[in-house]
Amino acid sequence: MNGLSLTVKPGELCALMGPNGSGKSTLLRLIAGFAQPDAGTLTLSGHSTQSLGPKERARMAAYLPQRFGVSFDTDVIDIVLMGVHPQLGLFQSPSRTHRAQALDALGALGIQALAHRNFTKLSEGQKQMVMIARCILQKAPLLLFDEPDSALDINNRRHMMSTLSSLVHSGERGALLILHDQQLALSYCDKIYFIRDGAISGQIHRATATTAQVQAAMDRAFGQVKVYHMDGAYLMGYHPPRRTQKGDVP
Amino acid sequence: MITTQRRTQLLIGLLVVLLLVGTPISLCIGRYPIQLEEIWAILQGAPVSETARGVFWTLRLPRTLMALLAGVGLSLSGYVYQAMFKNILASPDLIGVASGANAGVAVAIVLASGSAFLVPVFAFLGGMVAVLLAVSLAGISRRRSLASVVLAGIVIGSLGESIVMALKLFADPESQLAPLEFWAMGSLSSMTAAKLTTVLPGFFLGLVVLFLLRYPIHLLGLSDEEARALGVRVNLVRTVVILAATVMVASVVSVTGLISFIGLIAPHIARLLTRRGGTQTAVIASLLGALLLMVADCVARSVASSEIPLSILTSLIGAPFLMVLMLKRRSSLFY
Repeated sequence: MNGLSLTVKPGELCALMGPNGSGKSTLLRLIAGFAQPDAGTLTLSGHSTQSLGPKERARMAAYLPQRFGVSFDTDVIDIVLMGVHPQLGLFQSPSRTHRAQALDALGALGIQALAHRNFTKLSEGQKQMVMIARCILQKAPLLLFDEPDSALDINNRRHMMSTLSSLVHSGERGALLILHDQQLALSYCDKIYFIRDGAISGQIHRATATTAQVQAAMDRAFGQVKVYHMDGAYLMGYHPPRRTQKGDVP
Repeated sequence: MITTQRRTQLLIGLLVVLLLVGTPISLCIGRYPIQLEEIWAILQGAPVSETARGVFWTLRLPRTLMALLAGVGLSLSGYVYQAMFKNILASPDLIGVASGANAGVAVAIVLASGSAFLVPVFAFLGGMVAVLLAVSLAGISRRRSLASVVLAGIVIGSLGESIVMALKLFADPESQLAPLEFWAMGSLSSMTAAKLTTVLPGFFLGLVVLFLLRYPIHLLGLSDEEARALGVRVNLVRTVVILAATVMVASVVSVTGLISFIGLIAPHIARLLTRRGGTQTAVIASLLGALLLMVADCVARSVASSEIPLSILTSLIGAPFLMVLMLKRRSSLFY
């Protein structure tokens, strides 16, 4: 991976897309300061990620790994409350004020009723909403989510994306999400970066891109994907495999 | 609806009351029974029979305090081990404390004089060395993950057990094998104020460290990646916490011998009762451990003509308790 540069401005919802193994997760982990570059530096708002302590880093970027979760029965409110950890001093634990803030964050997403439910018993869609509430509490200007859509059904994906969209567009946060669902990305994200073999192979601004540009970017990143533009929305499709005479699927 | 928060507070209150009622009863029970009025008189400095006074200060009080201390130490460290290994089956045995301490005692009894001074010292050192070895083994292995800490604990633990077995082979059946076996079953029968004071530094050192790191401990229930994303120095915190819990267990065990099951069962019951994690659940586990061990010790010194080893009773009292809770709560995470 070399010479990569991408910008996520406050109020911008961005997607990072590319085939499996293209380096998306590695890039996200590098930005979050989890992995160190073999050579060179990575800067986040002008700070080298290596020079930041773990709490400072967590105050700048809220990273959500693909697999998240807790090993023990835990109240939803306590899970959300963990978002304040980067703001706590050494040996400190959350106060009543923090607890009220956690309830507010849940309220902002309309899921205050989940506050005293057991997190491990929630549906995947609910868990994802709780994670977003935690990110609100974490107050980091940059959200980095690794495939937040992977465990969700179509309606939960849309719900999650519209929640993130209004969260990001309302203010001072920017978000970079790794997504696999192209249509989801093209429907909600302002900017999409395509990555292939550790390099950025293209980028799209949704507001200005033409269908042909979208098609070209998809081709470079994935190949074989057909882009349709209908009623102001992009649809993705691929041709079913042609059957040979013997009826085998090649 | 009663929230988990409220229920947790009620449970803490209930346990404190039970301990406040139970402690005086524990001070009375024994081969030489003391009356409550006598205890009151002793505390006020009023005239009482010399025997009662002697029994109270030199036997009963140190023994009861040690039962409370050991109960807290074992169950709190059990809670912490479970949180650190994200595994409800984790206990001092998993990371090698118990077998390390046992190996230390075997060395002290079989290869050295086995004096009252050497046994606790070697038990403590054995437990600490085992965990230090396990933690550094995990540290130098290429993958610094949770699984490698567990694996290292198992490796060191079985090494300790093989040392114990080998030494048992050479042990004199009466003068060495018997004390070794009894040590592994745990007892508070020879507790003295002096022994109690040797436990205090390690116990409070562990307690203070665990208290200071209470919130990161809670966060380590998350996946490592997630905890790191929230600003926790995962490997550092885990190592420090494991060592603190080990200092605590090793100090307790060095004078009591191995007391089984408390460290496993008290945190379990606490989690089943509160259905959440965090500092308050750890407090409940500690209080519950203290209560269980105090009751077990009362039984140990009062039902038979000779002292019953504690491990027999802790398992006997704890197992049905856990079983009832398991059957009652179907909706919890692990049952």
